[in-house]
Amino acid sequence: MSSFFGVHFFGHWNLASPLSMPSQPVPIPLIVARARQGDAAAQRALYEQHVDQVFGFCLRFCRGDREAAQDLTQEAFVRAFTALPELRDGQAFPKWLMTTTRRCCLRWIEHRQREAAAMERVAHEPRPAAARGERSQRIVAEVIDACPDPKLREAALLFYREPPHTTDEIAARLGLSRTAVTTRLMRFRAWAKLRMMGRLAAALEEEGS
Amino acid sequence: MIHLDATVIDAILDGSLEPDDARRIREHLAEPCERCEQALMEHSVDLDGLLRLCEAEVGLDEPVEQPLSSLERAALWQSVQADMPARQVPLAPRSRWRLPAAGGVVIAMAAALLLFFQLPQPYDGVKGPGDGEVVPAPPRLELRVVIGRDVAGSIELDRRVQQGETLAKDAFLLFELEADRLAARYLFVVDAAGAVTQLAPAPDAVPSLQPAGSQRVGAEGGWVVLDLADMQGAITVVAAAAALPVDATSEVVRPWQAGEPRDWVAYDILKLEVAP
Repeated sequence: MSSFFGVHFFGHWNLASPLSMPSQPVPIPLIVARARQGDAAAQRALYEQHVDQVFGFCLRFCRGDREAAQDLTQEAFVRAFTALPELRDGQAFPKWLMTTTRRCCLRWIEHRQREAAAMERVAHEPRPAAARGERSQRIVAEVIDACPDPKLREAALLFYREPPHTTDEIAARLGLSRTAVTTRLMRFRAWAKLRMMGRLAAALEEEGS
Repeated sequence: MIHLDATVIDAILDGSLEPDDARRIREHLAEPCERCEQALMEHSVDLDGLLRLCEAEVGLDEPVEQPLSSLERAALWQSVQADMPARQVPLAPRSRWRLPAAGGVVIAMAAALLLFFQLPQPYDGVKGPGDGEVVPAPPRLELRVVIGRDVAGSIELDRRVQQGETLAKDAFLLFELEADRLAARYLFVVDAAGAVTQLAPAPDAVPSLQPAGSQRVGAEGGWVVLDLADMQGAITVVAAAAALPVDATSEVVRPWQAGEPRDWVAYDILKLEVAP
């Protein structure tokens, strides 16, 4: 315990107390400016203000895998705070944080897919599409229904909708060669990717309006 | 017309595409486009990644189905903090900017020196907000002072001190500040002779913004303790809070002493008497 003009100091300000959301938030650029200087309290305030949105995004991306979503949330905040000196406009922090979050999510899925592809090569057997949640099935169904080519739609329905089929099963059911089914699925994927890019662009347009 | 290329695809995927460009892309992709299809095939993103992004975007405005518990939030924050020091801060400026930037710094320093010697200096401390700068209104602030006594070498909390109370010299004072939002908080004691002692933050520390809620004046569960043994007569405890971290002496204490407290600083003042 040190002493200063009769005042005994046991330490500095307590920054680690539980937080609640501010009722009248301080302007974001102000908090970002402090966080950029490494102020832990300002970083904590940014974390508290945005953690629910980041975690919610990651949880939906990971299809309900809480552990993976928490890892991604952690990664997103660490990357964002580490790169904060690069952010010139503090007001843009929320959008910038979500961009960082999306990048973390994409890296995570690429890594997972590389692992899955390696497993597939070991097993010598292409797997049917993995079972997905309700939200995912709804989007897949919309995309398949919107596909203008009935041949592609037929192959995609069997491959992506429950219960999923392997390419061999689809080939047997449709009386086609495995190569023909693979080609149709490839063409469908290319079309579906365009369709989903359009959806993402529409979401960005909506967010900005 | 905008076609997809690697840059545009990345901007869509990470959400950084401007809304106007997003609209043009959305309109363009309503019809099949072989060139865009080819660009997507060459890109590393696959259908599952796109689908997951769509799923995550769909519920962006919806509440999280299973939100983080308070324990998970706290644990996650600790993990974020623990992971921070291991990271390298990236070098933001690219090499082509370094020379002009260095030139700019030299010019700015020369201009600052010129201004320093030519302009009158209205403040001897750090100049705080003012002069038309828009400053957020101060938070609601409450100062709580608890009386403690030395019992076998440790301080035992007794009761909350009331306004105007007369206290014995063997008492200790412990402080707690509660503000309703993020703010920089300050605490001073003024003795009978008018001498001001800054209790918190430590006089040489950089003021820090603190979140809403109640904070003990101290760290890691400890307190700052004011020993009344060295005091006598009327004393005043002054708590202040501002939405901006400011220089305590010139922007908080002096205006208050002069009877002109800043309207962007919240004050809570407790007047006490220390018995001889």
